[in-house]
Amino acid sequence: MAALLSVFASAVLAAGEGEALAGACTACHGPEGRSVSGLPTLAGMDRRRFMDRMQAFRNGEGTIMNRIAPAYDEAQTAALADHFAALDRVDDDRRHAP
Amino acid sequence: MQSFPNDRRTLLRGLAGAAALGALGLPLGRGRAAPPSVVIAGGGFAGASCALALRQFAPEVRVTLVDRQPRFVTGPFCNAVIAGLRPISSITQSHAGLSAAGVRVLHADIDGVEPAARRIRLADGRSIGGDRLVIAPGIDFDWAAIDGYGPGHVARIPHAWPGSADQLRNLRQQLRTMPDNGRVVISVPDNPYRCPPGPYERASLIAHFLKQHKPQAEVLILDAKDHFSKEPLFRTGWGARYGERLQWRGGRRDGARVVAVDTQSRRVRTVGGDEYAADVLNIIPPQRAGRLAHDAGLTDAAGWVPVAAHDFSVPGHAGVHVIGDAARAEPMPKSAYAANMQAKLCAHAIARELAGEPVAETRLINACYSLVAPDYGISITEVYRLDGDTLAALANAGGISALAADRQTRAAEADYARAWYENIVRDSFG
Repeated sequence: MAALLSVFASAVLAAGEGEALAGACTACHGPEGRSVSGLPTLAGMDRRRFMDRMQAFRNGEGTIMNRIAPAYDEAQTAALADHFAALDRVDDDRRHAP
Repeated sequence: MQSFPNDRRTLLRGLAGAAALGALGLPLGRGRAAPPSVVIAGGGFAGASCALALRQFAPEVRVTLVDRQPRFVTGPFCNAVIAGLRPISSITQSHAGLSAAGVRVLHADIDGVEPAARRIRLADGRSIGGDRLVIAPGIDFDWAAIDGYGPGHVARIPHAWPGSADQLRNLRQQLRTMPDNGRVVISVPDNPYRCPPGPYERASLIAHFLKQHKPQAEVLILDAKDHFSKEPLFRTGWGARYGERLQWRGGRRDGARVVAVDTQSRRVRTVGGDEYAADVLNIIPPQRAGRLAHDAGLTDAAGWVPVAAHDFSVPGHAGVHVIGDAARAEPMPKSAYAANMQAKLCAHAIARELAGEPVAETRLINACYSLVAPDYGISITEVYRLDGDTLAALANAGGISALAADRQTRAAEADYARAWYENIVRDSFG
């Protein structure tokens, strides 16, 4: 029971953590990760691709992400990957707006 | 009771949020008839971002934002406007996106804020209170710091930091009409102030303008400091692009802090006793937290508001938060990016606290681009974590652009800077 509770607690925390962590990404990558400029859209990005890109940045790729990615550990990166993978690439409301 | 637009997503989120709260057995709105409310004073990057983030994180919360002006001219890219690289309309933001997201926006003069009552007092006598009061007043200038320079002189000697659209246009016009062999002098204050690399980007883009249109003219920076943000990158860029056209004199080294201005002759005197004549004079005065924070007694001896970094609350003032340039959030700089980050952290913390949940661990970023020239971008970035009630920069992340980089890399960073702007204004103003 204790183990079950702690699993539940960590899942809840992780959900909140992904949302909180993602706020740091969207100032560059657009609201909810939907870029309106030439910078990459993160919303709807395949989870695996997100993880791979972050690893490449940690290995030194990029001009600015190579200085940001090392701040995120595996669990945080996974929480971010889950968060953005769960979002639609295009905002549903905007897509259907008249 | 106010009504929000029946935006489908907002409605769905509200229902989902209410269901989640109900499932956890928490009383909705803490058992009161009205849902919780947050009032925000100030609609710049900090205030606007906080309002939007609250709508996202806590759709059941009523959010009211008050600002005296319906149009906000951004600090980011104001130097490009001054140098004639883009129109002022491209850096002018409105609050329409906030209204569309369900924020109640009020454009009215604010008489003051009352921390104990968590209330904004309007000049017309009305008061607007809430369960939480978020104050995002930005900066004010310390007009006593420089002899002979006051708010009455900004038409002739603009600070353009960024001030009004008029000030940016004025400085732009003065650069256009100055003598072909003239001199631009920029006075830069000691830390802390809004946008640490901003004055050096300004000098760079003015030098770029002069190089093209008045090749005999020069720019001189009179700095109160001995070192400055992105210094090695700026110096590399200046050497490559501007040579003797752009000169810098430092605070203690050269005694270059400006202490007096003669507005009629556009001459300045430094603490070292040197006098310089300018054809265009741009004084960026020393700064402190905006009037609202100062008048409410929230500032420290240095003029800024100490905050607890986990939610940017003001110690000793329950339910009151201060975000953006006015807050003491070192080692974060005073930047639009930092304001956006602090606003989201504050909004997330308020949402969790109102729902009776613990505040989540998070990361904050500052990423800041500067243009040495339209095709020459440089950047600095830091990542911060919460360390109790303070912020700490992560040692394994952050830093400035590579000192040795090819033309393509500098051009790419200039493109990223412009793309960043388009995204952060949407992320902050909707």
